[in-house]
Amino acid sequence: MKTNSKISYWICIILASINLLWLTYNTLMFAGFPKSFTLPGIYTDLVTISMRVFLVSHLMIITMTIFSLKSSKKFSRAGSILIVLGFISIVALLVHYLSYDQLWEDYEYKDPYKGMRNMAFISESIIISFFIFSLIYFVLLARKRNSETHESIFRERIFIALNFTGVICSVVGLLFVWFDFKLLDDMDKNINAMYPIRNFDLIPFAAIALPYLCVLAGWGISCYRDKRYGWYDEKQSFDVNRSAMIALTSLLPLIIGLIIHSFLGSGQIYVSGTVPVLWLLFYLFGILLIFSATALYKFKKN
Amino acid sequence: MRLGNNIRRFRFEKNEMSQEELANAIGITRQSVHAIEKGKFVPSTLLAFKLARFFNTSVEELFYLLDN
Repeated sequence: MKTNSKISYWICIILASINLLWLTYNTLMFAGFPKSFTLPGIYTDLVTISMRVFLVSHLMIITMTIFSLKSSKKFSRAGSILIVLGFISIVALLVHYLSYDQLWEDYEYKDPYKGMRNMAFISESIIISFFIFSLIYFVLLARKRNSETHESIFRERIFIALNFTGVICSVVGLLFVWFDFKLLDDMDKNINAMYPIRNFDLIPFAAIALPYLCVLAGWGISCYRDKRYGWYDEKQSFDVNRSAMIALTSLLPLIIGLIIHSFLGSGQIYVSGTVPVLWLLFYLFGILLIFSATALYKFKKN
Repeated sequence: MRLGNNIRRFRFEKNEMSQEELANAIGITRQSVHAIEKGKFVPSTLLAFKLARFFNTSVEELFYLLDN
């Protein structure tokens, strides 16, 4: 086993351990709500800071996991699962952050808080499961001494992980888009169509897309480092091209149909404001979903 | 018309080589080897020549046309 790999495994073990301890502290703070929120600022600040630490730790552990796939044939399947779980956990972290923010508001306005606190616990349990799984994974990986995974298997695993992540990210993204449309339905559509979207409205969508971009970058780096195999495997290249064509041809008519439907309904097409941005997001996540699902299906079919 | 192949036979003649070993030797994924063997994927000319060279044979020996 290379020394660098071993160091990176130990970094992940330490990171996962620190994060688990920190999550225990956060759990105690949420359990003690609203009393715990009356404590001096330093106690609640630790919860706020932890969100950023969790995010950075997630990204680091996922990156290390991508590179660890190559080091063990035995663990490559577990590694792929860990990557997917990592992305689900990042989405849970976003929910956790929003519920924490909402808890503060509920606390200030003395609103009922039980539902939000439960949401914080559920999202926290997903994050905890990710760190426990990564702890076990890297402990076992650091202890083992066996042969390297062949490149052909590594390429398959990262391809599966990439497309799985694509499916999960796009489903969550589409759910968020649907949720935003539901919010708009409760308000005056004409006003909202002209209402400019704010930067922070797009942050959740960027956070959802981030995991996919991370694996894509990891996959790109691994392809770049291994010159012998080139950017694509021939079969993967064929599957990717076919999936891209299916994604484009299936979603484009749908979008055109929706625009025509919208035009017939309101008599005008908005080119700025919240509604067109949401349709663009719907298109992007829709394309990603069809593309990733088709690529996975083509891969599994053979 | 479809493309048939003798890759499986050549693999077994070469010390019962696994798909994974062949994939590593050629520089493709195991999935590609499997798809080519099953006739579900037609390799490029370059890959066909690579395979033929690896088994020390000709492309015509390795691949053949199947009439419907």
